[in-house]
Amino acid sequence: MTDVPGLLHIAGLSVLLAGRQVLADIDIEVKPGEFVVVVGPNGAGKTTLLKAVAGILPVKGSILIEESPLLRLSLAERARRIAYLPQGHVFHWPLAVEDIVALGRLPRGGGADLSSADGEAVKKAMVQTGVAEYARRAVTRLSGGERARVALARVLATEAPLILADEPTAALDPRYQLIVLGILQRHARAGGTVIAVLHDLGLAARHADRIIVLDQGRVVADGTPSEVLTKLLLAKTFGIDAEIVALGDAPVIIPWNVI
Amino acid sequence: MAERRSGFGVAILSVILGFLVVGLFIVSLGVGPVWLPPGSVFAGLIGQGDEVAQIIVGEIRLPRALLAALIGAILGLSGAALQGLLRNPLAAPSLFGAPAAAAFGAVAVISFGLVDALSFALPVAAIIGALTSVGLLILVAGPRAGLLILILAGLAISSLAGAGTALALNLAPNPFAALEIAFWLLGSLEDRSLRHVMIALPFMVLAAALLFHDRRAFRALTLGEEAAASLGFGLTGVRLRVIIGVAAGVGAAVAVAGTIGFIGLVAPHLVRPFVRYDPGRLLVPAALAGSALLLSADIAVRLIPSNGEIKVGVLTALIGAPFFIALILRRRHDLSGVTS
Repeated sequence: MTDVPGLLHIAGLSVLLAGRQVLADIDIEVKPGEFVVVVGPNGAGKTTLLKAVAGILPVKGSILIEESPLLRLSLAERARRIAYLPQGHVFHWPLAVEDIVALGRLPRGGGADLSSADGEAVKKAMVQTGVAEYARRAVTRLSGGERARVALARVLATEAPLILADEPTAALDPRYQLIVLGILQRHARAGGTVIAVLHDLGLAARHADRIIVLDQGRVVADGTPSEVLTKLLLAKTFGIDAEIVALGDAPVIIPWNVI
Repeated sequence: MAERRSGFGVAILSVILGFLVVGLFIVSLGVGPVWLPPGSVFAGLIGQGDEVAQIIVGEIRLPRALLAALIGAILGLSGAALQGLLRNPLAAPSLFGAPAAAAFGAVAVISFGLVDALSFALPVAAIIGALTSVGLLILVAGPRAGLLILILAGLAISSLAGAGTALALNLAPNPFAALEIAFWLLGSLEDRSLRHVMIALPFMVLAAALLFHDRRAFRALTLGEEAAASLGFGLTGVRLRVIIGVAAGVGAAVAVAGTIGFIGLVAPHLVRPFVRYDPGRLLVPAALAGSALLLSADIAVRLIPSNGEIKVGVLTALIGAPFFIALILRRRHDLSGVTS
């Protein structure tokens, strides 16, 4: 894996928001095919890191995507390479599900008048996420879990190599949590790259190839789930006493007590 | 395919609305103290038939009908664009202070006694007022301001312009000037000439081009600002174009007709379900619906029996305000639950 050029190369990244240092001196290299999960306590800078990589925040430092500086890419080119799924899955107008998913094609010229390639991508994304059956329903009338999957389908429809997903499982029941993470995992297996923020350490350990732990705007650990998620780290970073049980390759994390 | 279906629907809707606008336009040329049948209207338009009818149609009613169609269209388009930018069906073109500033510009020249209410300098002053309000807005809110700051700064500028207008009324040199200002402010299309059309038209064309430019961004904004930005839309530029476009369009409208409210709020709302709530596809039908609404209102003021014609701005407010209240009542549940 070491000779594969990085899909994403972050060096010396700092973000200052309203005078507060939210991220400081971040160095991260991500390779194609990796499923990276970012964890950390509330306010650690996880969402800010995703927004910085999505190119929608003013930053200091260097971010290279497929070896070109992020800020040099045209907005449309950037949007074709990076698909960003924000938290909350907000939809402001009661568009039909298929029309929402089609918005993912905007960076490729589609959006309303779809080419056949656009149509295929939209359909595929809806089938993958299991929302094809309500393609014609107004998105605002769906349940939280259904909306979360529509939002993911919109991101998949972009067919960007890098997907940034901020808490993609937040409103989902356990079954759909697994389904959504399975979809993201398959995207990575197929040669794409996924960086997801998750709060559920168990889900993170189960699905991630690699876990990055952020605390107070800095990377405090970076490695495979079993390397990173240790009792010591969980105590220092999250302030919890956790039981860790090995189940197959993946550690199972059970938060037990507040320290 | 679904996408073709919706595109097809929008095309049919636009054609139907287009016919409606043309029909109302012809009616508007025929209605007034002297009633003219469509035949005389057409003859008058091409300079044939009865000479009196020719003058009535060509010089009195044509400018009025043209202005009603154009102003209605630019108000509908402005409303649709602003609602797309703000992702809120209750947004109206008056939001950023441009109409109030345009009104103040016009009133200032009337009250200084520079001109009477129908002269050439007045629309120029109004458009300068509207564009000044944009400069002021950007100065106050900063070039990269978020929407909340822009709306609050717009409110402040509106209030300032309102105060200026009130001062002008207060200090009016004589009761006639005060009356002239007051009547002008009500909004009317009476006694306008083709010169008024020519003054307003370039600004309206500029406005329409600016507002139409960002239709794809409005569509992306359905997903919120961050997702829209990540889809490749520079939102600072979008905001700037919409604010300038609305100021130019609405400024030009106020410049030649005074303040005509609620068309920009109501027109997009009426056609939105027919475009499947797509804020990008909404623009053209909303403009046509705005045209139809203002033409209808301007025909109605000529038909409602009263001593002296009711000003069209008064009529649109009388109908529009209750509509606004009904809209708030219907959406009260979603609006109070908004968290993001």
